[in-house]
Amino acid sequence: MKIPAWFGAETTPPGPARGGGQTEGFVEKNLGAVTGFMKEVLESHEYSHRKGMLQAIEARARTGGIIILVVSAAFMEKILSLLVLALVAAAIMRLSQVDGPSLLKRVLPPALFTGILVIPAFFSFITPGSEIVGFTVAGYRIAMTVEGVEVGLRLLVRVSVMVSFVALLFLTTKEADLFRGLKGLSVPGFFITALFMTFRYILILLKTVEDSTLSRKSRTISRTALKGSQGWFAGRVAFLLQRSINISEEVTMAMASRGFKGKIKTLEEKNLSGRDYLWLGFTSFLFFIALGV
Amino acid sequence: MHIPDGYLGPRTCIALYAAMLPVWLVSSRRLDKALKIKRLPLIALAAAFTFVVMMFNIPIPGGSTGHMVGGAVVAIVVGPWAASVALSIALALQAMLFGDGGITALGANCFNMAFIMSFSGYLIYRLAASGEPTPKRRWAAMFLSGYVAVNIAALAAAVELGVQPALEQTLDGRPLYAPYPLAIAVPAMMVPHLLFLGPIEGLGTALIVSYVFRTNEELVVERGRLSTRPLWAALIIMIILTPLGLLAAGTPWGEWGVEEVKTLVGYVPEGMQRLAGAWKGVMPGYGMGGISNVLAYILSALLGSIAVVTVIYLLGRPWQRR
Amino acid sequence: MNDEIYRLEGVEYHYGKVPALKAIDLTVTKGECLSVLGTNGSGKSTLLKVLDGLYFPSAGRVSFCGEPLTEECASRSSFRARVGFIFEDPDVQLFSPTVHDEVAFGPLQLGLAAEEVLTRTGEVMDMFGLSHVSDRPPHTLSAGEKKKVAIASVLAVNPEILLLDEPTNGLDPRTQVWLIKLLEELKRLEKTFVIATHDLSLAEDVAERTVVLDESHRIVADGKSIEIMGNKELLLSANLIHEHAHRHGETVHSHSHGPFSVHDEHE
Repeated sequence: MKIPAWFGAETTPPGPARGGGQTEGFVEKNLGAVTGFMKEVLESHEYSHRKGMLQAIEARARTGGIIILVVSAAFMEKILSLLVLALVAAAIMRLSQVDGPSLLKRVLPPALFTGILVIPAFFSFITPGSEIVGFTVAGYRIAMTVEGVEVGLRLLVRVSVMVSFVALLFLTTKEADLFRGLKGLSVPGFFITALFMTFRYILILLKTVEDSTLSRKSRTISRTALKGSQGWFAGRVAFLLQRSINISEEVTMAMASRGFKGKIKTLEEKNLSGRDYLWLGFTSFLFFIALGV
Repeated sequence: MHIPDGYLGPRTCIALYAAMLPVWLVSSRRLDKALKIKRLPLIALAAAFTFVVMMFNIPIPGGSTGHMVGGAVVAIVVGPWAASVALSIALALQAMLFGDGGITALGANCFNMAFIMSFSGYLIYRLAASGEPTPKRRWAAMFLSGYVAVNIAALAAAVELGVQPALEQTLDGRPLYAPYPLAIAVPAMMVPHLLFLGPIEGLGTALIVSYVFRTNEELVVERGRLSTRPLWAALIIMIILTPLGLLAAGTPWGEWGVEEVKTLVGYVPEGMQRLAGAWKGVMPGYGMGGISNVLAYILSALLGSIAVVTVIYLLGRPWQRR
Repeated sequence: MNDEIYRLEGVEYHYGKVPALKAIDLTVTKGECLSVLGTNGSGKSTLLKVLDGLYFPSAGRVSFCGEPLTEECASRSSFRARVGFIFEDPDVQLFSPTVHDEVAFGPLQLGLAAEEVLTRTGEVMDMFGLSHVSDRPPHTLSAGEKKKVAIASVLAVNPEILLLDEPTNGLDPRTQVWLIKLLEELKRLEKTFVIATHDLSLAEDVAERTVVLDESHRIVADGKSIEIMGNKELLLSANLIHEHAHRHGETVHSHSHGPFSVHDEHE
């Protein structure tokens, strides 16, 4: 093997790294998304092992009850009732030993998004009504209205409450139990198995993404042109798709090899306990109340 | 384009779940039959692929970033039925694990991105690349498929959001859910999609699919011997089930009054409203004399929840045997 | 012959236009441990997939216990219960939500009763020292543990014939030693093995018989493992060893790459 002479030469002067600046923002962003996802998955594993109220309820009942609560929030009309439901969410959070910041991390992004989105609705040009404050610009009257604020706040509170319940479910439930919970809600086995497998492959594919993004990052010396990065992106994604298809063939064979014939057989589920029925009773009680408030 | 929880009213959510039900049923049946076991891992992987693609941020001019949906890519590569299942699964996972898109709005999100986008993307590609396309035309067909499909999906989402103020109101006529009417919701959604996200989707679709074609000729399923019957069936279902089909023939956007929208969109949910009324009729308490109204109300809710628990308990019996 | 498990005659297999196996003649008898040596891409994995009834040859015949191995025959539960396949990449084999479910998958698909499945699963997991990870999702395990789960999930079915594809790949030396011990134990139970590998020491240590596939996708040698390992020319021509590998050895010094690193044997 002949090694080119320039391999031995020093390429950059020694000392602290310099030049080039940061890598492209989008590489960072993708890496952030990937590691963030992995972290979130691990976080739920931690919470699901704590001894708390939600964790004590059987997965099917837990999933069912939380969905009932989410739907209840969808049906409520008054901001006050929604705030009461928010208190229920807070109580469940405490009883299930979920830390405030973990929950907030999941609730804040959609809440902030909604908060910005509803601002125009505060004003008379979207929601006419009795003015709180207002001014006139070039003959146009722009004013904040009581009704507008009400409309905006209602959406904001509703979204936050619903997202909180979903986040509580995810935080306290291992994904395996979550999918089992869906099975209890008579989602067909085909979809449950597909969900399981999808989740598995997401982790495999994300590992691929992380590796390739990291390798690109480590090779980035100067900023590349936008077009170059987009080409790189398409190459990555196509590679992912290709890999997906290859894995899928192997998986099919691995399943067939162990006697799978198209219908997955699983072990029986445990029975629901009194506690589970109590929880379902409580949530559906809230639901019926929600229909009228 | 993921609609979160709380933006759509219950009736819209139920209607769109109901619209997706036959799609899920038919596609899972078809997949069961089509290639038996071969399909399941492929679906799961297509779903994983779209999930990951939606996490991938792409730089767009101006320093900002956006992401693809991937519906057209998967539809062209694995076929529209498999793609709708795969996309639905990806969306369900995002809703449950990521909080990206709501649980109550899952039906709506699946309808827009899994169903409409897959089928329109596939159909556009088949039409634009019919016959013996040159590589250039095929590339253009892929781009077009991604571009148009994502815009149709966005339009569907915009319409769903835009009809909320008219559909769901408090007694004094204030919107209960998404507050912006069609005249605002449609342009707010469509402008970024037409200008930025559409081109991204189109370019991404073309680049990815042509790469797959290049490296794996035989992979693209049903090539050449495609029967268009299921496509037409899907199109017809789409037209019947969606307000979109009806709206397309109607007046220009944003010019309708509340009443018009109500008559157009309202006819599916109306039946449900009557159902709700029936429920109230069965339960005691509403207007029961003697006891105060509040107490009666709570009592009926209590009875309702007891009924729910009983039903679950009874339904739970067969669970144990399964 | 009663003891004959597999008989392959003139088997060919093509991926599209790319050949993977050419003119393969091979018999496997009961209780035998056969290693299939070959470089990456020589067709070892394809051969195993043909033996497991996952691929069906483009030409030639495969018979299993005297009966032609057709698609119909391969889809029978009895065939699946008798033949177990351990894939090279445990990631493709592990698709269940928890380790316990993974191990229980095979027995369940083959229609064993629930109690039987539970006892078997428990026992196999004890045997492999996997009980403490029973509720963990398989993807969170280390590579070695993944491999153990993959093997446990196949053994839970209790197959007579085990097909292993590159079993030592990606394992640390300790797990490799464990694996070889396990294979020795299983051999005592009269099981039949076909091991595809490019790890010469594995082939020499566990298999009595070795066939060599070269890069033309044909079998170029079939004989006692010791004899084949001694044939330096053959191993060189099949690209299984490289000149530098035996710089300081008089015989083939490929041991130094294996799990046991038995340098002293030669010194």
